[in-house]
Amino acid sequence: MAQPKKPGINLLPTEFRESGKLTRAKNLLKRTSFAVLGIYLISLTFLVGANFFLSSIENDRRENHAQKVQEVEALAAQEKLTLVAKERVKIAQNIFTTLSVTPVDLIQETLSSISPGILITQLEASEGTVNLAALAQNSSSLDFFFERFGEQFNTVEESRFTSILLDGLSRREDGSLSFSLVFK
Amino acid sequence: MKNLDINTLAKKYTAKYKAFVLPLSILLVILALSATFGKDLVLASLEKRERINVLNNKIQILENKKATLQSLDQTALAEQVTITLRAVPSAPSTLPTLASLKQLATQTGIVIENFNVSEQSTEEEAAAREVSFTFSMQADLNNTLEFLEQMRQTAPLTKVTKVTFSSPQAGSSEVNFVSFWSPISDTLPPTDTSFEALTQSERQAIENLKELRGVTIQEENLPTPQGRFNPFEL
Repeated sequence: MAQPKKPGINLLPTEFRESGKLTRAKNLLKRTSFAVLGIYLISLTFLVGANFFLSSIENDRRENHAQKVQEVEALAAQEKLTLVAKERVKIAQNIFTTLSVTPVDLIQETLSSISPGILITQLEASEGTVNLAALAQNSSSLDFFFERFGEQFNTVEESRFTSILLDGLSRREDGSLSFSLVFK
Repeated sequence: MKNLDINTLAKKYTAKYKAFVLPLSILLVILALSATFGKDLVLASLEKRERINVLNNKIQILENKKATLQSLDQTALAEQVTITLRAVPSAPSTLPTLASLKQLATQTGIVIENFNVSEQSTEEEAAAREVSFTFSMQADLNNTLEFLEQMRQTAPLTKVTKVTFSSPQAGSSEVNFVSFWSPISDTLPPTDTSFEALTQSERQAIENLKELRGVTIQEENLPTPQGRFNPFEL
């Protein structure tokens, strides 16, 4: 049988007595402190555990990584051979790109425009430019050359030249005409 | 009117809130600890996780690389390297170019004279280095062009830079061209970088290089890799 609660005697002066509200706040604070402490300890335990677990995984991965590195290092000869081949193929492909239009191609295109009665005296082809010096037997040969020449370069859609410049034209004592062209 | 003594008030409030000091202190200490050790632990865990992810990626790359390297046919690879080294030698290409040119001149019956060679100083980092050649030819225009066309199909790779016919009818011309070479690097990239075997287009390019004519000059053995690049090295 429960004993009835005896009334306590508080001898403190009224101004020093705790109010009910203050007691509740104190109790709440106490409980909160302990709850936070509990959560903190649980979290700390979890974090330490997780850290330890992650450390062991990291060590395991490191060992695995070191082992794989050794295995790949053992195949360095194959890697080297492949890289040498790749490097050289890349260089060759770059060279082939620059070989798409060579002086030889330019000369061949230039020569295709030469008509009968025209005598080439000098021909110089470097990358992208052809200098042609020639003699025309007479003015009709030159007219024919320019006419054919104009037709050819107007109709050829994929000519390697974008501009053709008449660099000089002079008549010689024997009646022939000397001229020079710059193809670019 | 009530007499308000400061000492009485201080005693009153000290007694009232004394009970709060201990739990409040505990709370503050816990919060301070959480902000220091707890935060450090969380950060350490996150860093470890990040490192593990990086290691996992590297291991995956290494596994793929190992599988690719193991699948390579060493004999075929050595042959492919020989072909590419014939096209782009690892040492100055003067001798192999001269040999190929001589062979071509003999085959076509063209006379080559006034031969000049100069090795151009190129930047150390340049992938392809050049050797310049100049020579005169005694052949008519068509034969000269045919000769130059055949030069394009010889190894080592060459590029005609200038052709001058000073007297096309007399059959005299001067040719400037360069041939290419590239030293082999002594180092390999870091082990855990990804690796790709020769692609289809690269194999096709090698097949095209195989068609190049020319003499084969024994290359030096490939140098053993001396080390790998340190990506963190300045």
